[in-house]
Amino acid sequence: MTDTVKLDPAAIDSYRLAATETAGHCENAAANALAAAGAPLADLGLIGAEFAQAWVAMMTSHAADVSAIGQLVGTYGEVVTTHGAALMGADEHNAANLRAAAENI
Amino acid sequence: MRSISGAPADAAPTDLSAVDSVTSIAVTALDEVLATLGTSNGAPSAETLAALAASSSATTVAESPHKIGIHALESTGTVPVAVPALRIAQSDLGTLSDRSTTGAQLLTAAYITQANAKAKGQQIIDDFKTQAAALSKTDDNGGRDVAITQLATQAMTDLLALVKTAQADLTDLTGQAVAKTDTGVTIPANFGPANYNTADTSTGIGGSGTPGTVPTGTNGTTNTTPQVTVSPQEAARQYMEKAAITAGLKVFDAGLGAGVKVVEKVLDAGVSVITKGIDETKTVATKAIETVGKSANTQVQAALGNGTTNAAPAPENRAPAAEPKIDKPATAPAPSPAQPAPAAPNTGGSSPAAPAAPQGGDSKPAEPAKPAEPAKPAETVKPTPSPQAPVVSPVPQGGAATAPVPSPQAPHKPSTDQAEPPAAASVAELIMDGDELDMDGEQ
Repeated sequence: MTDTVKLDPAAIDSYRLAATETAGHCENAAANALAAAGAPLADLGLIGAEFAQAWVAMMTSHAADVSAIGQLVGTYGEVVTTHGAALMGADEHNAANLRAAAENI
Repeated sequence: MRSISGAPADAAPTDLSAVDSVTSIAVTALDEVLATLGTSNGAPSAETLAALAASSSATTVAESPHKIGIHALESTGTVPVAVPALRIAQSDLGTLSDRSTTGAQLLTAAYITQANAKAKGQQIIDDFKTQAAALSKTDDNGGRDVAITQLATQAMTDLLALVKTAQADLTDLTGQAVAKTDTGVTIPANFGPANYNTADTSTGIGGSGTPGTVPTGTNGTTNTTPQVTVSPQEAARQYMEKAAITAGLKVFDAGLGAGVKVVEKVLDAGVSVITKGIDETKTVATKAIETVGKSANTQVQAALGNGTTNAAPAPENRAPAAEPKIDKPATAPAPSPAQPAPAAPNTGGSSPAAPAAPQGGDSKPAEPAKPAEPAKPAETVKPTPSPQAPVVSPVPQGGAATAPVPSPQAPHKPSTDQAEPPAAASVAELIMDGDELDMDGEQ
């Protein structure tokens, strides 16, 4: 059997937790970036209006980017978990079938 | 320039109120220009800085757990097919980790620039007031009428030069902010249904067992997109914020427009006095100022306007004002002058675009929230619904494309370009007027 499937449930669980934590931090970072982007910058005056808009655009896009990564990572955590569960399920399924087959021999 | 003062001494009748009137008009005009330099005390609000700091630290802290998580999978050879994608996310996260810090630095620098310019501008006006007050007390027959005009002209020239410098600095900061705006998140193609299905090879001994269907189920939900975008509420709030800024811009521009008119009156009067020379202008200037002396401010403007008309050189000198715009490449050379009129339409057009962009920017329906929670690791059997869906989605979209950053970008850029030009043009024009006046004065 060259097609060995390695699967470490502990590693999967570890990744899932890590992904969840990272995703949480990302959402926090995004929320704060967005809050900052909402800062009233009118006191920069007409002379600072162009900068203000560029800066808001920068922070808003940053918030969106960080949020996107957070959700991406969170999703990866689910995928990996599901993947692991599927493999383990298949393993048990196979084992059960093998046991049944053995009894019939 | 001062050397010219006192020239028309023998012709100008003494009238202290003439100096006061010109001073009053000049101060009003100077204040209008000063208003464009903003009102801050030199620093972003504490709330803003706190939010930036929190965002920065959260982004930094976010890197560690995921990095460790990836290592856990790698070190055990678990789900190797997913690792590349996870690493890309980790890399993107690292790229963004200092973004909030940069944002804080740029914002702080902008506030310092603005506040310094405002302080210097205020000083110029204060100095002018002091000099004007001293001048009005002198008993120099007639000479002070010309002198006050020159003082006003010089003050305006200095103030506009100050504005020009500050604007250049802010334009530089703007460029830095723009440079940090187009990041985007990478959604890898090598991690999706196709790869995920390889796990399906374990169809199981003894037929199509439940386990085997899992991948299929996941695959079926392929169409959902994990593309993250700002939520409707946030988008709305952003729109409001932008609208507020736009509104502020509009007000400022209108104010500047009005100020320019006043400034032009005063400066044109100065030009006429200076360019026509002591000989010819004597009578014109004297006449104008004479009229000014006994008139209210409104009439003052009219009188000065006449003076301009009489002074032929004035209009010609002002003509070159258009050229200077060239040295402001960053800002789209707006054909429109300083008038507030053009600004209104532009700003109006740009802000509406903001809310629309979110959808148009990306074909993918923004439904970020879902994927995160549904996580039901236990469910081995086809959870066709939402949970997995998002995962797979990236791939079907057609490869590793840098996910077009959500809504914000699109709207912002256009608005920035459109909104500013008028203002920049007007300021540039003012500056040129000032420079020119200055040159004329040297003659």
